[in-house]
Amino acid sequence: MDCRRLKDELRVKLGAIGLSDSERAHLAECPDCADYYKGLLALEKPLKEMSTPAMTIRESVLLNERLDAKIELYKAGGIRSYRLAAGLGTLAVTVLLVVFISFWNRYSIPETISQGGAGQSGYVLATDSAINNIVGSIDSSQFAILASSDDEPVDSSYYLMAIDSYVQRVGSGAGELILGEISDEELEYLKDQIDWSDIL
Amino acid sequence: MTQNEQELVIQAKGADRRAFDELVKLNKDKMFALTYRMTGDRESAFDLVQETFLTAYKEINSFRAESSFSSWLYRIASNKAINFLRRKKLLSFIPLANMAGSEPTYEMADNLDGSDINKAAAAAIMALPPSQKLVFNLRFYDELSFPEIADILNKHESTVKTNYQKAVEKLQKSMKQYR
Repeated sequence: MDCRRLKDELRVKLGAIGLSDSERAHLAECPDCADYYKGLLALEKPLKEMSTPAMTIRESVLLNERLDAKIELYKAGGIRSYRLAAGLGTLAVTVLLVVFISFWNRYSIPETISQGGAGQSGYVLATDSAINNIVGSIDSSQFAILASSDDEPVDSSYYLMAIDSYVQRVGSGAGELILGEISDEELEYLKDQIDWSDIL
Repeated sequence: MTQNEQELVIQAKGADRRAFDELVKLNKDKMFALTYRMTGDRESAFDLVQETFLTAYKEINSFRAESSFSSWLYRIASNKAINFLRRKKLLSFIPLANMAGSEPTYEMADNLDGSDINKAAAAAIMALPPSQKLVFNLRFYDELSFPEIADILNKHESTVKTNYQKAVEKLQKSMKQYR
């Protein structure tokens, strides 16, 4: 057996040195390794003699008391965390709901003609921007399409009056009129619906 | 893991404080011995044992009974002891901390009633690097097998054996004069 390898093995065995037959045979033949082995046994003795540290009764009691206190604190912390998480969750849901509703109101419901308005009788246009949207969407060439029966051109002020008249006559049904970009079909619809004789 | 220990672990997982207290009672001395041998002073060892059991309480549901409960506790205590020694070493580099007297005290060696050789042995163990000291203590004093230590430290068995050999070599050198 190789001396170096045997010494490595012996070091690993410190604390529970039990020799195999081949190791014994080598130690019997090799004085250097035998000396090394004796040295390890000499080292092992004082290390083994060191007493095992143990807790005193007072320390054991103190450990239990402190553990109790810390575990209770941990549990209370857990409950606080749960409450905090629940509170934050509720807040987050509320904020999301508010954001969702505001977006819904802004984008999902188009500006429509609705009932009511300070100083107005009957049905009026909901906002100035709604009127502007209609007027802005009609270019001058389309005014010709909206010409009256006696071929007089219709300008934007006439058109506004026509819308107003239509709204007052049709009432809430006019709310279905989608404002903004006006398609050709919508222009045709307006042309059919508006009683131009009231205006022109 | 004994059947009793297994049952206690199951009960403790179900938030049974009595079962957990019983596990503390069964293992506190082993953990204290390890942390005391690692730190060299009672107060730090006591604090580390306390932290070990508190961590065990918090994490008991993550304990899979693949190893024994005490092996799991050894793992927690070992990590805490190593971190403690690293912090202590780090603090020793800070001049103010040195002025405050944070030098290692080797209380363990001072408190021994035995002969000079026993004190020298204790001081020699204390002077080992943390990882070698840990392996040495787990093997020599706690009498754990190398595979068990490898499992506890999450290291390869050959690495653990090398650490042990190096620790023994250093102890041989430190104790040369007493032979």
